[in-house]
Amino acid sequence: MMSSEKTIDPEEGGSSGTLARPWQFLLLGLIGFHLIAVFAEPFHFFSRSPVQSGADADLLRNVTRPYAQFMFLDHGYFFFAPNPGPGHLLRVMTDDAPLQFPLPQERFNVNPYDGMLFPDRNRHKPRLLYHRYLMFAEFFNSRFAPPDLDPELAKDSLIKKSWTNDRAIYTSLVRAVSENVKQETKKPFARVDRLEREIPDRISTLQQKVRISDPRWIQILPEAPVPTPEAPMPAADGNLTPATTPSTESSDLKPEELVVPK
Amino acid sequence: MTTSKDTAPVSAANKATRSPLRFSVLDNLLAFFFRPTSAHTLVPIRIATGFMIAYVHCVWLLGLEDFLGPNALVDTELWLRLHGGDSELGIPGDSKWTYLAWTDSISLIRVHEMLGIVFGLLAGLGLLTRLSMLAAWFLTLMTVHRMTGFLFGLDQIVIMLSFYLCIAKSNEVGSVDRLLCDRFPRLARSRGMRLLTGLRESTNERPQLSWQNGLSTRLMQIHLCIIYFFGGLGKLRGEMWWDGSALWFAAASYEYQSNDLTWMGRYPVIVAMLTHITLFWEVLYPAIVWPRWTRPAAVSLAIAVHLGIAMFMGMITFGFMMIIANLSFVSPELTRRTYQAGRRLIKPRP
Repeated sequence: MMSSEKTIDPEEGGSSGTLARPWQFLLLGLIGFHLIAVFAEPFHFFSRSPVQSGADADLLRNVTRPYAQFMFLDHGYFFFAPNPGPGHLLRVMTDDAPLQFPLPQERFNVNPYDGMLFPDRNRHKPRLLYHRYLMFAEFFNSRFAPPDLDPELAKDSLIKKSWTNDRAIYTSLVRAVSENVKQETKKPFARVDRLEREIPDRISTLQQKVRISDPRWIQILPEAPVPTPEAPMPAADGNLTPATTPSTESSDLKPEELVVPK
Repeated sequence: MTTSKDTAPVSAANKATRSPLRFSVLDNLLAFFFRPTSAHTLVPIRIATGFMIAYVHCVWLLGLEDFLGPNALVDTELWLRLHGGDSELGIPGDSKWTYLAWTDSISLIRVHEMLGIVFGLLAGLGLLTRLSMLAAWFLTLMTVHRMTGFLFGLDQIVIMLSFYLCIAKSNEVGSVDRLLCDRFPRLARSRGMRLLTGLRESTNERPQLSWQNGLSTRLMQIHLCIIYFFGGLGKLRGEMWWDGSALWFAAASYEYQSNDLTWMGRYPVIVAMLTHITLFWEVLYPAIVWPRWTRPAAVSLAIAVHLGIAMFMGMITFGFMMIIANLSFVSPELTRRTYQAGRRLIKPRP
């Protein structure tokens, strides 16, 4: 053991373990490296832009990266940042026959409980277990890579390489999730749907009484890019226009009626 | 710096004669990290971390076949693709090494998780603490590396605290190790026991001071400051944290919600105020937690924010562990006095 335990304060009766000075210097170096590793990962995360990342952040991170990764220090600490975003769910449908992907008009008329849901408040208890599946649904959604790359972007070899890797990971994810659910339901065919639940604004929740659990806030995210409807603008007083929130009377909503600006 | 029963005088950390001026910064730095300190503050942190590790492994056991094994939602083939890189594409692998990526045997994985529970409980109790805390940290780290996609802030905090507790002698007080050493001095003197517990036989009413406790506490404090600082910077980038609506959008997120907080939307001024307080508190935490006169405010706000997260946003475990991590800023002296007051309440003096 590195410590040399000595009594330093006999009047108080306590004994104290102090460390010899050469060891202090050695340890100080190790502490410095460790703390740089703790700092370097979020620093690098923040220093990124669409064009480049900070050269100093790159340098720090490259030096400490293997250590930080093994010690599980490689985090950006983006808790509810930059903004609280929509929630994501996974719904896996299984059947005895191959399943078609939903038609565009079906994407906004979703019953999440039609298939197996991740996370499922009723099935996944205790709360920590539910949260693990919630994180998985978010992870799954974050790894989405479209089936085709824009021809213009494909001309850039770096982008194409990155997309190829991302797409391979995403298809592996879909396969693993499908196999898991097929095994559990004993059905030969499965389809994985990425669901997104928009966070409603105050008006629709408090004045129009649309509950935040209402399935009308949910849409199935497309697997291929689709033309996005024009996002509604906030009113002059800063509040959202009522047209952006679902009506309490209609259950047959059009996509643009459900789009709420984030 | 003050001297108390719980921290050694600064000079004790460095027994060398007074250094010339040019070395004073270095001396202060050494004293900052290596000042012998008692374990009183680390005791609740150790108990909470140990039991939380046990609970985390219990929950992994509940969903074991979805998390690990041949039928996992992230199976080993996918895990290797995520972490092993791709030589054809020239993408390097990472250093998230875990032996759980080598096996799909549910029985072996179950044994691993059960060991995690056992060592977590032992660490929480403070029994064979030096071994049990190290084992609990390592077993959790191995699972965490294999559990890509299922992780969140709780895992970061638990790994952080358990690693720093491996350095500490948190079993000096309030542990089964200490109880055994006091009751059975011969056992305590044995080499094996000393190796497993890190304790020596001697004890008295005075707190035992050790540099390991000081260092462990400092690392927790600095790490926590870095977490909050970057957490705050991330929020500064979002317009919702500036326009005062972020708290509403966090409270109205159904996937996170555990208790309904949407009634707060009726009071937009309060929502905006709480959003801004959270933003400024988080960014300023590293600055306001060190001075003695602002520390109570920084820690109290941390407790309030994390209590809110625990009660309303479904992250009871994460909120609880963040509150526990903030205890590292409570002085050992105050913790010891609290214990003594608690003991007097239970057992009043005759």
